[in-house]
Amino acid sequence: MLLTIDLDSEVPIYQQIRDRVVEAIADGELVEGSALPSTRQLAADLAINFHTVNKAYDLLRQQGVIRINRKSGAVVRRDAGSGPAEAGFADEWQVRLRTLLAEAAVHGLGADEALQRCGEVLGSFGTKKGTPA
Amino acid sequence: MIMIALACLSLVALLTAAAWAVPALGRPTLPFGVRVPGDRVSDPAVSAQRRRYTRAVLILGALAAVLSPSAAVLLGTPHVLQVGTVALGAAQVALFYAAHRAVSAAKRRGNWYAGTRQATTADTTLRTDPVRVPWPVLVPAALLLFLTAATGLWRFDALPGTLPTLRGVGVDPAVRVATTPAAAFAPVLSQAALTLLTPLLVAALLRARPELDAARPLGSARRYRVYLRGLAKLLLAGVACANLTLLLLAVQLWEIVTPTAIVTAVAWLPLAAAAAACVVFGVRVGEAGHRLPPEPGEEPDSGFVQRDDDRYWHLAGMLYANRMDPAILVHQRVGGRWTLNLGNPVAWPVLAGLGVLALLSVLGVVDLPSNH
Repeated sequence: MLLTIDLDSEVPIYQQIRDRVVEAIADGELVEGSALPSTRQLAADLAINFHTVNKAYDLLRQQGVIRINRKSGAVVRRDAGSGPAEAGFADEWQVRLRTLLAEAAVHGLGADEALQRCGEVLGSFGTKKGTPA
Repeated sequence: MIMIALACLSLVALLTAAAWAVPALGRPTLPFGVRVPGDRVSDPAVSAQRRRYTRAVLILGALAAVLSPSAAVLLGTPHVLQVGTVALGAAQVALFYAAHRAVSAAKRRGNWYAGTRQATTADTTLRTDPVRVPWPVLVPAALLLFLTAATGLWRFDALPGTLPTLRGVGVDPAVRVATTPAAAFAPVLSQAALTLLTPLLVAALLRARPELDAARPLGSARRYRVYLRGLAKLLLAGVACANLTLLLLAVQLWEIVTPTAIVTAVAWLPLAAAAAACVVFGVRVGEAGHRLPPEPGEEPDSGFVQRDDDRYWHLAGMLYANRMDPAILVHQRVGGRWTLNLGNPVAWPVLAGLGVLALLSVLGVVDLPSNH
């Protein structure tokens, strides 16, 4: 996957790394079992602090997206085809979705348009080829 | 004297061509080692410096072409060659540095990065599916090493009490040294060092940070992969060429073949072929693969520009020191070479080790293969 970090963005770098990895899995670029670079290697490739990548990977691990082994390093733990979501995920996700949809409502985006855009984004997922480890 | 004058002329031509080619073959977004956004690569300030530098290099070359052979004939000493080379090289570096300062000043004055979105990009597949060391390419080099070693072992007992020495580019049968295993097997030791160390260097280069452009992540990642593959093959094939040259020199040292001008020329031919391949690679692929043509349907501009990291680069893009960057080995901005990140604590012990080795070599405490 290509990981581009916007250095002028207000979104912290670790959050951008986390978001890009989740998007790459949804897009199908990464699938269950795909390997990710080591934290040190990715930090060197992006010329950023090693602790920033560590924080992103730790976040992804906590959220159940990747698993980190001593031997195999960071590996994608699940993708869209790995079965139903774990218990409690949907409720936690809905809390964040509420904020996102509230923004749409505040800025005058109608319910129909919000739903249509949600559909477009969902439809774009899973269109890229996976790279299993 | 005529030979020295001709050698002076050839060196001047070679240095002038090299100095002219450096900015011409460099990456467009790094004119004279200054990072510029994509829309500034043809800025009038950059174009003016390119023209000025080219003109100055050609005038300097013309002057040197007149002065250095004349000095060689008048003074009658071969030292003109060394002094002339150093002086011309230093003047060319000064011209490059002046152009670097001028482009850098124009960038600062015009605030070229205002309104841009700076980004950095990585291709994780270069790590999870990396370019690997092409070991089969090393096989000819290894075979040549064994062939030379076997020939040396076969010949060693029959060697005379003294051996001819390597002087300049050829073997001089008049200047002789005592036959010792170290003197006799010097070419084999050089071959062994090259054959062992070059794959290590290639492995390190393959792991170094890729030079990707955030403006075109997909295209630059594809081109960098081609560049790395080509470079790895070129370096390992270069070892075979160097080993062949060393074998051809060794058979002269061991007096199997009588040294003549033709034999000397043939001996250096493999290395000349390797140098020619490097030039062709530089022209066709370019630094970080920037000269490779884009593939049909390749991504449009991403809207980002590659991060402006000028403040970490010194001496016109030759030295890099960034404490916040965990990378140890980074691609130099000018020329297809890599340099150490002097801001990384690991770089200093490496440099200290190399420095101590160089010092011991100069003092004669250790005998590096290249000394022979």
